[in-house]
Formats: sequence, structure tokens, C-alpha cells
Amino acid sequence: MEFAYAISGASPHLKKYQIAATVSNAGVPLLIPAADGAGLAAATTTSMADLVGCNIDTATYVTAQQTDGTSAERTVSVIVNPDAVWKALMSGGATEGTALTLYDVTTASSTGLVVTTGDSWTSPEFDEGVVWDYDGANVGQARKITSTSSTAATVTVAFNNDTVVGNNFMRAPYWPPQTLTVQLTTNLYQADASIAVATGAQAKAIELILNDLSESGRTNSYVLFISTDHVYAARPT
Amino acid sequence: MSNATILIPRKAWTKPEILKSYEATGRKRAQTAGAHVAGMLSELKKAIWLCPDCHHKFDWKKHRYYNVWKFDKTTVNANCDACKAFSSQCRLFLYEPTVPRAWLTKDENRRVRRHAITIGA
Repeated sequence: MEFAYAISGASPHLKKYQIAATVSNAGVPLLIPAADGAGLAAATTTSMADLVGCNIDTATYVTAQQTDGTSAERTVSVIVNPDAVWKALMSGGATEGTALTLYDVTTASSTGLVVTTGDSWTSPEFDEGVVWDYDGANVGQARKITSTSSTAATVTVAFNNDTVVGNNFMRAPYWPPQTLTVQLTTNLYQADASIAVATGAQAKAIELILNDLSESGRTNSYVLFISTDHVYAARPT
Repeated sequence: MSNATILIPRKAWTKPEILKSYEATGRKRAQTAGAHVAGMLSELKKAIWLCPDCHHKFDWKKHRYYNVWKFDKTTVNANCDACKAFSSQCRLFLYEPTVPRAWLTKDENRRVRRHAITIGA
């Protein structure tokens, strides 16, 4: 994930920290060291407790003296602003880069209030998430899901046009600023948008960037979030 | 006979104090700034930040680095990798292949938002 901006408007504040494990990818959330840890530890897919920030370079962890003359002290550069907003690509599964799933309408809605598909909206639960049109008459519109069933999502604010059989919609488990969790993908630099609402690591969604067919929305939609458990926050936990 | 020294381990370290102990030690005393930066270039292409007094000495194009200040008009708060002085006007240089995952460039920000629905924007 990438540093998008800081809510305060501040410039990124950078520090170099020693690591306790090899960091192979940039944009990975790093946490305060565990007890007896030699340096920063990587987050997990479901926890960003005591977040320090995300790295902007990589490093290989070593413990022994090096024969090539380099120091065994290996560091990564980390953006440590507690109010940093991170932009993460939505992935359709735990594996990075998985395209978001399309949900095709199987029963039309003449009110624009119901998106009925052949897929479950309750397992995983997407109530309080977002649904948006991918290729139909409602392209450019997104709505908050306010109730779900095993075959449909209902919205309170109607889509401007009827939904038609064959239209494709997409969904994600976020609605800013209500959402309090973002689950990470396996390698920790994207957001797994296939999981249920209210599942994942400590983060508050700030913004959603939702693209449609014309902009390859299945692999080009993003959630922007802020940490809710940062080690430099005004009220550290 | 000398007095014995009793070391009492300090307890209740705060999280920022723990974190402080893991900060990189930076350029070594006998090392020149040039050698330090050259080491960061050879080892895994590290991010480099240099204050306004030092940044002109770094040939970022030659080393295939992305100049954040030049392209995105953003400075960073940090201790200069060369002179170690803190500056809120440091220039950040990122190794180009790391940029797509580590840094949201101005062009990329425009591209993804151009036709998108933005909620909370």
C-alpha cells in the first residue's frame, strides 16, 4: 500500500528501523517489535496493532557477521505519521492481484433498490458495505448496502435507473467513515475485499475509489484508510 | 577496593521508547557521507533522503532513482542521510522499481481517480 496523504496535511515523516525478519515487499505495514524481537515485525492479515508505518524500501534480515564487509544491521525506511492515509488496492481474494468478483443481476428491480444476484450476500456478510455498478445503466453510482439476504443486497438510496438482468455489480466490505477494519492480503500490501464486513485489521476507511468496466475496475479499485492503533497516536494503546 | 556497581533494569518502557531503541544508528563515525550513501545504493537500493544542503551531490538519474521532490513537489521530515541534520525539507529518492508499491505519485493519483466513483473524497 502507498502513502496517499496525511490528514493533518503534514509531509511524510521518515525513519529507518532495524528489522526482525526479511521485508521483501515495499508498502507492508510494520509493527512495534515483539518482546525480545530484534526489530520491527510485519503485520498479519488480521492485525495491525501498534502499527509503526509502512516501508518504502526492502531489506534482508541477517544475524551473523557478514563476510562481504557489510553490516549485519539491516534497516527499512518507514513512513511513521500516525495520521497517514494508506491507499490499498482491493483484491478479490487473499492472493494479491485477484480481480474483484462480478455479481450479475438475475432478477430486475424496477425501484433501483435491490440488487438480486444468484450469489449470497450474507455469507460472507456484506451488510454495511458498498455495491456499485460495473457495466450497466448505473455506472458511476455506488450505494451503501443496508440489508442483505442469501440472494440480494438492498440499498436505502435507490440507484438512478432500474437494474436489469445481466447487469454486473461489484461489492466491497467498506463504507467510509463507518468501517473499522481492513483485512490484508497474504503478502500484506493489498486489501482483501472478499471478506465479511467488520473483519480484519485495525483501520478506519477514509475514502473509496471505485472504478467500473471502462477503467478496469476489477483490478483498479482502492480503499484508503487510517490506522486506529498506531504506536505514535495521541492516545497510544 | 572499588565499589560494586548494581545495575537495576528499568521497567515499564513505553512503546515509543522501545521503538527508539530500534532506530538505525545511521552513518558510522569514521564513514564519509559519500561512502554511507554509496553503501545504501549497493545494498538493496535503499530509500535515500537528503537535506537541501546535500541533495545536489546525489546523481539520482544515474542510479535509477525517483526524485519525489522533483515530480510530486513533496518534501519529507527526516534526518539527512549525509549530514544527519534534521530537516523538514529533505528530498526523498526512491529506487524506481519500488515506487509502484511504496509511493502514490501525482500521475498515478490522477489516473485512478479520473473516472472513478469516490466516496469520502
